[in-house]
Amino acid sequence: MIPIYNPDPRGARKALLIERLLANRITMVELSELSLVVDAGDLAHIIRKIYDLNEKTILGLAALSAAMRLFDNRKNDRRNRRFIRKIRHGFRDGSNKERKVVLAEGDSWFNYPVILTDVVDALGMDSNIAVYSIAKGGDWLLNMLTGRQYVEELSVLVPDIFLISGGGNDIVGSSRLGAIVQKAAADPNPEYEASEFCRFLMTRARTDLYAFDKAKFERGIRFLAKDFFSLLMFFHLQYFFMMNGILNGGQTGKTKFPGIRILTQGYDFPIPSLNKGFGPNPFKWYVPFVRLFLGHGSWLKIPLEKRGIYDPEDQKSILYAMIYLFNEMMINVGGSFNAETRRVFHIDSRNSVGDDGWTDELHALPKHFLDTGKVFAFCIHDEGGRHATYDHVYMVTQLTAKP
Amino acid sequence: MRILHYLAWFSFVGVFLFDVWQYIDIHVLQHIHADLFGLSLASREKGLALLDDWSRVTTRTGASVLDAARLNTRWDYLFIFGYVCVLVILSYSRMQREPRPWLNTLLRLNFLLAFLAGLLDAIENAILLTDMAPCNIGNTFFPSRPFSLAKFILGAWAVLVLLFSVTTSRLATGAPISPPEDLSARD
Repeated sequence: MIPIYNPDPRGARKALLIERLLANRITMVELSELSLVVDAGDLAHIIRKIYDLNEKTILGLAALSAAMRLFDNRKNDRRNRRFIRKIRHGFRDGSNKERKVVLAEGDSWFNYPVILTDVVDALGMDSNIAVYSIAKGGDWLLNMLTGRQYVEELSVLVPDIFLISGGGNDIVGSSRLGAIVQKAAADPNPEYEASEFCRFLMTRARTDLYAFDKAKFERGIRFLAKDFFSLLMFFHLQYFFMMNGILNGGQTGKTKFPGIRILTQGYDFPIPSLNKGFGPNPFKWYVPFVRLFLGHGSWLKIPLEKRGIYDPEDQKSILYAMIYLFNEMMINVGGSFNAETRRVFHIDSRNSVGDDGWTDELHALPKHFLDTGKVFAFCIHDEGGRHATYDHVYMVTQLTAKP
Repeated sequence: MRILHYLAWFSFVGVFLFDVWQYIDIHVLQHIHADLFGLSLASREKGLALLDDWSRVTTRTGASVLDAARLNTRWDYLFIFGYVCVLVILSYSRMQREPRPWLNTLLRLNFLLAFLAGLLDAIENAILLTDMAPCNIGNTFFPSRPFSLAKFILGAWAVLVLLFSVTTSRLATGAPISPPEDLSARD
């Protein structure tokens, strides 16, 4: 047999690993190997395969509508004017070590442009924090990475803290949720069993610290299709790529931002719903308004029903399993940069919103965003992560618990 | 968006200045006693009497006080647009800096209250313009008082909430959460 000459053995190895990731058959060791060699072109290739679409179409789906962009920019302009005012009044003159400059990149948890007070709004209320925001409601993590606006702003601001919130819209935007679920598989779900990564995450999960609902998690897992597990690993690669670039200068190994800390978050368990939220409580007058006009039902409930998943408990369980794993993935990817010094922290909002705490399918009521924002602020001022709930994780439920 | 912002402030300030000028012109310069704002709170009898008076008193331009009142009421629609928008703009801006959840919620409620106050004001104006129609002078008067009172209460509440938030803001800013006791114990 004549040996085939391969001009690029490293490229061939990478291609093989990507194929194994897409097939949800990659091992933990292989995923670690892949995360160290993956580049922006590979990420674009993987997402094309997961979504079965060409890159232009994907970027088109991920792009914000003109109206959304207008509202997002307006809110950011307002915040950033306040940032400039603080800076001009000597915020960065070094006289107060408590003062921190923060760059926020993310989605609607960081920039909900109308009516609600979001997490970054709450953070901006701290007089010792100056937040520069490039977050956009409805933005996909994919967009943030391909747009690379955060890279430009990091170089210009050299902030103390970088906040990132992304991934939610990559899962639920443009009805993509329907593409990563399936009718209930056998118990246990063979795709979950095949995902060494997810099983590893669950062995590390601190289920003892949460009101972890094992039955609900297992019920939800049965509905997750192969592409969900691939997407979760893809998020891992994306976040690793982003964090490695910031903290270690990517493959150069030299960071431009020594001392920077990265804070992440992973949402709470949302509830698929078509309920318009009408009720006698005048303080929640905006809930029906938001639900009628701003996409409520179209993100979770309808895509699940399109796939024939009608049982509300099944629907809730699916989102429970997804968000649980998403948070564990975020904790895992952050932890991989904390071997010597803690530089990445995760704000864990799981169970903090509750069943009645939602404005719509994806966004918490302002009081919960305020609580989450306070935990972000607490983490920012907590040098070295001394008061973390465990490792590099700050649990919102624990830190905002009323005595 | 910014145009709307400017338009709101321009309407609010512009019509307010017009009202002030009209008041000075009629009351101070021409010494005509005409309670233009009192009409909205007048009872049926008082309203009929007021309009009857106004229709007979002429200003130096030759127009009656009633004509001035009609003009004032028409311009008031622009004022409604202005103050509703300004109240929403100021409440929104304040809300995004208000860390106290209950006050943050009240400031959000201001959006609704401002809109309702504006709606009630528009209804009040429609009633007043009907009352001021020539065919109704001396014949019928439908009091707009319930709408006016409700409007004033809602508007005043919204302004009070806004002022309270602004004046007490120093007490609330920069108050980060402290760790729960069991976490503090680790130090």
